[in-house]
Amino acid sequence: MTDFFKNNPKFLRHCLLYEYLQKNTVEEAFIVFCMMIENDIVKKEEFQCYYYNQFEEGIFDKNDDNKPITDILQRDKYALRACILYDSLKYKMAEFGHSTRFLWPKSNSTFYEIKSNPSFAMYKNFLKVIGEDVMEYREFDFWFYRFLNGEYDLKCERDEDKKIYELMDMPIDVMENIVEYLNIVDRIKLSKTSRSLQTFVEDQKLFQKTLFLGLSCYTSGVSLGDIVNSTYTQSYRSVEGCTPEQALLCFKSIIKNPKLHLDSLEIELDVGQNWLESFPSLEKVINVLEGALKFTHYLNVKEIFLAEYSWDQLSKILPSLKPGYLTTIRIVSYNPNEDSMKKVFETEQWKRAKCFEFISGHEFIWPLHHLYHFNEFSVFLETFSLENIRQMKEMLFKSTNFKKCTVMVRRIINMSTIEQELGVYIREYLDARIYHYPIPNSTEYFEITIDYEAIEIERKK
Amino acid sequence: MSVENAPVVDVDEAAIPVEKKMYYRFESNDKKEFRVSELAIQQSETLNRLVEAMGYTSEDVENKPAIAIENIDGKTLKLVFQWCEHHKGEAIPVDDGSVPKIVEIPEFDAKLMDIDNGLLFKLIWAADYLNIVQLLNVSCKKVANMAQGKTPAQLRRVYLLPSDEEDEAAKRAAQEAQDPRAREVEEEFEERKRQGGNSFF
Repeated sequence: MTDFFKNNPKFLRHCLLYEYLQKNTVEEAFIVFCMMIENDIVKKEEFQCYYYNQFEEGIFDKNDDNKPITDILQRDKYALRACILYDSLKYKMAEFGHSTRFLWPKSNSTFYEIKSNPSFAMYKNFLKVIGEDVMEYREFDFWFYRFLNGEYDLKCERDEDKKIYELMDMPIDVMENIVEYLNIVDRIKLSKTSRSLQTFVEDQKLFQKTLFLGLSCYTSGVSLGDIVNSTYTQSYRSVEGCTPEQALLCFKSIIKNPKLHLDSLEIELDVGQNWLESFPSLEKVINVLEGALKFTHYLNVKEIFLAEYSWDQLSKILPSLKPGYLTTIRIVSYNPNEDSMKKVFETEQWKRAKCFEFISGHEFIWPLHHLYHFNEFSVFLETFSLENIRQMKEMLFKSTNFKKCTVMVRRIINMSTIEQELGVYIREYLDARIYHYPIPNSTEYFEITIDYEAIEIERKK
Repeated sequence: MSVENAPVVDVDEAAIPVEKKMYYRFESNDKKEFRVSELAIQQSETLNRLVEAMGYTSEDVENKPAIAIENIDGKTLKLVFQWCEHHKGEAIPVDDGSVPKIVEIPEFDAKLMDIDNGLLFKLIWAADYLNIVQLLNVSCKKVANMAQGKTPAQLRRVYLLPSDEEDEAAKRAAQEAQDPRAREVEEEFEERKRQGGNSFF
């Protein structure tokens, strides 16, 4: 590289001018320059001389001082290439761990932008410094990577007639593969570039970790977020502090996408009946929530999390979710509604789900056998009776799907009642007694851990 | 005719079973020749089927002409075979479309793809044509990563996307190329509309 600049002193001056136009100080530019190119090629005094005695006076070349200094780079394609070469050399230093802030002190590009798409970050800076229409991105990109890969011939010419493969020229399956990695926000931006891309993008499956709708007296909001994998790290966006109507509208515009696949749909209705009466607009929104989830297609939701004052909403929301795709139901609820849950137990969505988790709220007032088809469940009961353990032995322990459950109990469990059915415990651990219940014709057994407040059962080998 | 040595230099003889030590010769559309190990070829479903169908012996490989890959140039093919040699013996991912793909770009691949967009899209096209699943995944992910955080105007620049007007103009041009009368009919229709007629007939 040193030889290149020794043999082409004019290109060296172009690079210095490029540094000057970026408003980098002599010190900033000189340190970077010496690290990239051998120290002795330009002395600091010469550097200062160019900066203060020539560039500041508007002179690029003392032998040809007629041209305005700002035009020097714009009008000379080789000078522009020399600047790109200079940026590519700097980027190589960034790859070796030098700080991007040190290399481009006045650039607006973040470290993340430079790392994820270096040529575009350099290009933005290049246009800002030299002029907006000075070069097309594709040409800049071509030279940047050519230099980065060690080809320093500035005078070779691109074959512009050659067929260039672009995104829109790619086969459909390739386009699908590319769009699959884009998060919802980048997809919306891509679909805004043209109608044909909009149609294409909207037709692609979209996997998203979480969609949250919160409605309460004080603040309502919608957020899309969290990560399924690294692809989605940028996808967190939220609309907070809006009215219940705005939140519902925003929520509906997202959930209506038939290609959306959610890991988790979270709905939080932080309102009691007596509050609702004081906030009629909120009551209205909650009353139309059921309708807002109804489309001609089922919603692809793996897990529904519902926090609400009564158990009413579950019977309204569940029928909109795709049976079989829905695996987990998690609930926080305080006011049991016997009839609405009876409707829930009849739904295909409930019957085909694999996991039920009761997080907090009022006790589960319905017969426990409605939970026995789940692989896993947790629930809160008023009391745990002899009848409960008998029924478990009869039904739950015969289920081939069942893996584990936790039953929390408000009243203290009578251990001697349990022992009547399970026999003598195997061992004790703190306040808990541990029983084993063998599974017939199998090497497996259920380990049952009971203390005064909870029963845990787990299938083991 | 030049022989590209780069893809085959890094062969771990001990790691490859004796019967897998065969090499094949391929030729790009600009007459660059490559020697590629059988194990590396397995990353490409298309090439793997091709060599299986040909049933070449080691002598055939040397005596018969190199297998021509008509629509990929030497620069792109060199990247393809470098990738295949580096990832030879690795399992080929199966995608049934039911779950989001989790693809990480390894350091080797990131370095290999330090290329301009034109060449990157050629590499993608080649990976798709030769059916190299994981190369297609990582290269598509690289293209997708370029979109992150960009405005629609910037995306147009990065991907050279045509605007709606350009798109329609291109479609019209293609249509006209097929049917030169189409333009005349359209102009006639516009003229009649200007004159106040509702129907073309």
